[in-house]
Amino acid sequence: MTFWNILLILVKGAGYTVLVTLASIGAGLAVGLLLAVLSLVRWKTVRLLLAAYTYVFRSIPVLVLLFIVFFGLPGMGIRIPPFFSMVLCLGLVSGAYLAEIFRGAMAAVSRDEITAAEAMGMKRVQIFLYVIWPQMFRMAVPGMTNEFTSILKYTPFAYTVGIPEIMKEAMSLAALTLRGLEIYLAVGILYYLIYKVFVVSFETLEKRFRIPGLAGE
Amino acid sequence: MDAFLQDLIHYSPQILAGLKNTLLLMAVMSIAGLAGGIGVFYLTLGKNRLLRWGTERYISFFIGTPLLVHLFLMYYGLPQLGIRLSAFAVAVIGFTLNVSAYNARYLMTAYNGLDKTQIEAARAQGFRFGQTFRLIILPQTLRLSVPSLTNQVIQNLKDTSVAFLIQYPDFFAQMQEIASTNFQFLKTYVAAGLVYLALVSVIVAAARRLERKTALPGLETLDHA
Repeated sequence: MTFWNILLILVKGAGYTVLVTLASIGAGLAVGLLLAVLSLVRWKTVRLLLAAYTYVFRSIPVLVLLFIVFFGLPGMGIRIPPFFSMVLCLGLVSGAYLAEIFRGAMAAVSRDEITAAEAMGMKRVQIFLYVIWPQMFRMAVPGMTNEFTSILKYTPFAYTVGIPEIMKEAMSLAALTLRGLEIYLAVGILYYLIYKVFVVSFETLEKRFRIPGLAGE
Repeated sequence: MDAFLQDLIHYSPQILAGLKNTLLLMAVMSIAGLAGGIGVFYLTLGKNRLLRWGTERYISFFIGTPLLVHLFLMYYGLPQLGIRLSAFAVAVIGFTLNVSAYNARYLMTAYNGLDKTQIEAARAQGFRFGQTFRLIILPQTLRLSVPSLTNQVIQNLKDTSVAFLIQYPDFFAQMQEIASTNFQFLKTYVAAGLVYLALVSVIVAAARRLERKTALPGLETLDHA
């Protein structure tokens, strides 16, 4: 097997890595937004539940959570396929972090703007959709980029549940060719390239939607 | 008594040994990572452009690639060059390189927020760079980064669970072994999760204390959670 073949297989694995990452980002955003919106509710029980959620999912290691979901839940008759187990875990964990980021960004929206919107007769939903959200997203970009790259860096765990992403391919290739050094080095470089692409695309996105004068970070 | 609890009691020496390994790894990498982070931060402030570029690349690479890749590279790759390291050595080196990069980044962010006239003033007073770093820059950047640095310790604890993938007999490795003998996967892994939760709570409580103790009135801390 030439090194070229090895590289091709790794790149194919990288496709799965990107897929898992994007799906997990989607899940994380959905969970994070839901939690951030719920945090606006002034009900005590909701607050308590949110605090408990954040606490639990920020404390349990992703790998342990993945084992609970993939190897543990079938004991209760709940079988989740590998890909969805991984996406579910990363979505739940990154959702907890993203919610905090969104909450911080929402708090940074000027009170005066909300008062002004109220004075204009906008309803709460309208204020949320047209005043808070557009600013929140922009201010949350640095935190979001950070969290998305953490997701990328957690995806190698997917090999433990049998998803054929970079790490799994690398392990079988290393066992087959005994060239672990080159293979894992190539894996590192591949991850770094994916990371750079992610970071640069978020930066571009942020620049595209940037509003001059709006306090970002 | 519940069969699962009996199992836990039966395996408790093994579990405790695993916990000891987990805490040891966390302590070593947290301390080495803090020292390494300060060292890397020092280098980023240096005059040598090549060195600065090198440290920037180092930080960027370690923040941009998964920890598991560094561990596998050393554990499965290095033997090819005749270098055989124990799982513990690989974990300590890999984690320390990783944690140092993050800590250096936190310190750099704190440094960017510092009032640079202090440094000019120190230079004008005849402080050498090393003195400025040790007496003016470091005390402030460390204080400002307490939340980030303690968050990193929590992250370190959670990351130790990865070490079992390179056969380091940590707490999670033991739980994994127990699960594969009693087939109580759900209970065993949930129990493991609860132990991590408890340990994180202890670190959080300690971190809050440290934050209160090191706080200076008027000096806001930075949080990069």
